[in-house]
Amino acid sequence: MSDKKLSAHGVDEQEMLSELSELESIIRSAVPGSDSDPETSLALVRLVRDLSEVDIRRFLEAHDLADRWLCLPLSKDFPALDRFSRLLESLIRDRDRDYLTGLKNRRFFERVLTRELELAWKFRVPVTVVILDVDDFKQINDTHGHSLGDRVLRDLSAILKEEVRATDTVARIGGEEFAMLLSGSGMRQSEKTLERIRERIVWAAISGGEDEEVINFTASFGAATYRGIGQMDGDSIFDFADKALYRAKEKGKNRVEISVVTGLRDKETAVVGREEKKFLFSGL
Amino acid sequence: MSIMSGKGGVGKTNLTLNLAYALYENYKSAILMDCDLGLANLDVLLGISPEKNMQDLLQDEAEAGEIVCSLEKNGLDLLPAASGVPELVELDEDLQGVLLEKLNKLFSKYEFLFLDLGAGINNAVLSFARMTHERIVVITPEPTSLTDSYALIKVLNSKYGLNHFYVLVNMVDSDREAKIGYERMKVACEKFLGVTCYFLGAVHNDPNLPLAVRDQKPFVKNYPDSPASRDIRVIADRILSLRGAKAEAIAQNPVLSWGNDNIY
Repeated sequence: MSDKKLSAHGVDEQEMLSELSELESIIRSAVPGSDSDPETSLALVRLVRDLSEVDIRRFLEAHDLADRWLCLPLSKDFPALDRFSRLLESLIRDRDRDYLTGLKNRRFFERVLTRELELAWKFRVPVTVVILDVDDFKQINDTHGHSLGDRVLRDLSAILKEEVRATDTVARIGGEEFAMLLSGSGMRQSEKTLERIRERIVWAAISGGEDEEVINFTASFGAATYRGIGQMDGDSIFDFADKALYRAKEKGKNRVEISVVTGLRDKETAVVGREEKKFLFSGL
Repeated sequence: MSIMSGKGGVGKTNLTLNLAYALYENYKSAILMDCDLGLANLDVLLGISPEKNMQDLLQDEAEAGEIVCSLEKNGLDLLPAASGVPELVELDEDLQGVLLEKLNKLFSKYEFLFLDLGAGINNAVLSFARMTHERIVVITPEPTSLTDSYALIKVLNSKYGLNHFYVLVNMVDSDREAKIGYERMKVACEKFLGVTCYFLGAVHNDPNLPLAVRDQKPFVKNYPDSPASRDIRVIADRILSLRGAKAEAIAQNPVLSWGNDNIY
């Protein structure tokens, strides 16, 4: 968590620091015996799902507080910490959010992606990564102006958010480029979801500009479904989805293209030969 | 003993915890070492957090006892992953030597040490598995679980010459199912690798298990009469008699080392 990023999101560093010292006094009165040791303070931080201990440590280090504060995961029912965790949560939320659309940003997406891929590998459940891109967005911008272009992005974001499940993740990862993570969704299911979204976008329209013109827009989708076979990392699956998106564009835009992908088998697993595998599967 | 499996989600962490607890019930002391930097860690399962870590151990006169969390009074302790256990294998040999010496001093106070290893085949898993006296491979009756664990055994055998493993079949619905799973593993290991597998036991699927996980307590403790708890106790008894038979060899060798391969 660098200072630049914090201030870029309008979060006051000073406020964070003064909260820390306020927390210190809360803790000193709440934890018996902690005031008898003036050298060491305790930062008891509730680690919520999205809040990484590493980031907190970095923040402390950046402000030369690492020696004085101990960063601990703590159980949820510690009342004195509520205020502090709320502050941190909002800090984290702002940091992870795309300011134009209110969706998550690329940074957040990449973090969740890494975790989801690990889960998929560990439990052999499918996960689908989608990249979608507004077709001919430059033209919309050039013809109708940037503010209408921004509205297209916002309307599209609203559709995406509405159409996915609470466990899915939607993020804006570039100018007119979005990414989705469909947890637990295999190829067929994802295809259905994406077709539904594609169609809704076709029917969506915004009106505006000087002559209240109606503007339609479409999007192309590239997706990669990973079923937990072989180990997969975020960059690789992103590349696969990107290739699928390229195919969708090539084939005339306003389309969904999905491929099923497998990760690299670790070389040790590949060590199991066909005969051995057959035997383990059937006992023959 | 290290507890490992080729595939994740087979219940390693829970088994490790409950086996240790069952031994503790038998008035044996045990310490768990959480070597898995993965998703379900013992400290999370139990809702605890360590105060000191391995880094502290490297410094001056810190004793390994200070990074231990007590699970039950007098005899059931945990060395949490959050304390830096998984990073241990990444250290250079000198530092590793310092740490192993301190850890062994600590471990020798216990009758049992269990290493809860991460799933899959990676350097950390291989290194830890090699360090212990014995190895328990956890499988489920699923073919993918068999294949992945077989791969793990194969690599440990070809890389370090380890040639005997204990097999524990988890999440079975019947004894028959357990037997089939174990037999396939055993025969495949004999036939293709010349490795010997011993049957350590089977644990049945148990509706109480998710409840115990939610309570953040070992289910052997909270649901002592459930089928899985009975299975665990049978296995704990087996481990006890195995240890009795090998007491001499165990006493003569350091708890964790690079040269424990041939204690058997």
